[in-house]
Amino acid sequence: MEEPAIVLETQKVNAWFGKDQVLFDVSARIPKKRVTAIMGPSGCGKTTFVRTLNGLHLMTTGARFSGTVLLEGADTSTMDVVDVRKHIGMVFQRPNPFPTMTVYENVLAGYRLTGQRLSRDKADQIVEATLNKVGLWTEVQAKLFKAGTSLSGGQQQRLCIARTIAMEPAVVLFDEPTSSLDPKSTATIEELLSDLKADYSILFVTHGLQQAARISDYVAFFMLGELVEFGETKRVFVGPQDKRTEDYLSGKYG
Amino acid sequence: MTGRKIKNSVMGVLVAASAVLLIAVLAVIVWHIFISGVKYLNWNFFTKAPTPMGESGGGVFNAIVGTFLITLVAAAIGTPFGMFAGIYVAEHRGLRFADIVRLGADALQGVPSIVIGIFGYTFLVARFRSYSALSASVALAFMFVPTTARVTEEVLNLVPSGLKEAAYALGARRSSVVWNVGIKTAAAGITSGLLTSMARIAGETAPLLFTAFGSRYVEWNMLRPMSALPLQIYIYASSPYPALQQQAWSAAFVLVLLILLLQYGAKHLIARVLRVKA
Repeated sequence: MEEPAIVLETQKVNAWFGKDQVLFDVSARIPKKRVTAIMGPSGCGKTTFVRTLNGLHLMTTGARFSGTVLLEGADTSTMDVVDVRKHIGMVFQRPNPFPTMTVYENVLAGYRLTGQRLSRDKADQIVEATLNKVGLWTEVQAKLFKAGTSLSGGQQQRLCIARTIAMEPAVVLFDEPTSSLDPKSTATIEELLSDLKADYSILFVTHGLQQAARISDYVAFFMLGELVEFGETKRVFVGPQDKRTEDYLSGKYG
Repeated sequence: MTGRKIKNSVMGVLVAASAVLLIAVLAVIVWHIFISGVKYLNWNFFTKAPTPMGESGGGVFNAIVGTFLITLVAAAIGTPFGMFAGIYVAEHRGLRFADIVRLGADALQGVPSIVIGIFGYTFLVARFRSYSALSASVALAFMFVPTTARVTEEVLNLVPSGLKEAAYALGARRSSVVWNVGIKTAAAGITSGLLTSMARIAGETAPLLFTAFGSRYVEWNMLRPMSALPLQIYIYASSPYPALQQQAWSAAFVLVLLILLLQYGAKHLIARVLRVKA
């Protein structure tokens, strides 16, 4: 397997909530157009790590951050945070379509919220193409002008994925997106990932080992705020180099 | 029976009795106003100004117009201030100044309406040397702003933080998130808060005594003295003429009906919000 290019790189990222340090010198190189799973036991800093990448971490009162995040080689601290977020999209743990918007409007929410106007044709085109990408088009074609919250949980989550990729980001962060979904909806979203990685670089936070093994090309293992091991998923699962990774994989904690 | 069980049933009776009492008080008031007020209600009552002293007939059209104008203008003045202050407090939780603003709103709500009236008299009526409906609206706006600010803040705080985060994650700026996610999601709640605040100021009497003063004519000019239902009730009920006292009851009936309608409208909207959330 040839070495993929790097889309995101973190250098010595530290993060705090008040006095509690939750990330310690995390340096990682995230490969382009691959699925990278972020796994580890609860409270290990997985979610905080992905939230430092798009600047959401600093929106919590008392949160602090140090270190460098490079997006395609560019230091994100020198970029407008709004631009950073246009390049790094995010899908959350619980489906959160905007309740005041229809399915159609939810797909275009990013454009509307950032004040970008689209022609009618262009808007229609984006909605259809994006909903097709997440496999929702045939399911919701008749419900385009109903509230986004009227869909089932799994459909809502795919709508949120559509809303994110409609903005054409380079990277999509998934923060345990299937943890509130049933197995069937989870499977649908997992299948979707292999299509999405053709166009996007994906970071996928999960605390499920099997899920990480199923979906990812690369895996980052976090523990107590440290990045313990990073590598190709097959390699890490078959021959972990760190004792802690081995213990985690064999179910000693988690 | 054990002591615990006795305590339990005594409490049960007290709670139920208080609930019944509350309904009974409302029923007595509404029933009495209805019985006393409905007798004199006719088309003229709603459409005619008061007749000259001593003549029979006439209505309170002047006061109905006045109540609508004064209340609506007060709401128009107070809504932006109240909403913006509420947005400020909701968006700056934890900031000391936001806490001070919230405290200020609570304190302003506690200022007796007669004091607001004197304030309006001193700074508006005395300064411009004329009683006017506009000064009444400004005085009522002082009562409208704090309730609106508090309601706006509370409803905005109910908007799930996950929705705001989703908007920020899409690259939205704060102003866009506040408006497109916060306000729009909370719109029904804010509207019902506005209606409740309007219902509250529509029934105020004390500030009007010092500002709107009252008028026997149908007045549309906000810069002139104007009547309003609470004012008309006050003047008629304290007059020696039985016909006017009767009209006071009818006016009371109309005012209560108006306020209950506003509040029912608010409740209805709140219910709709909750259904959206469920």
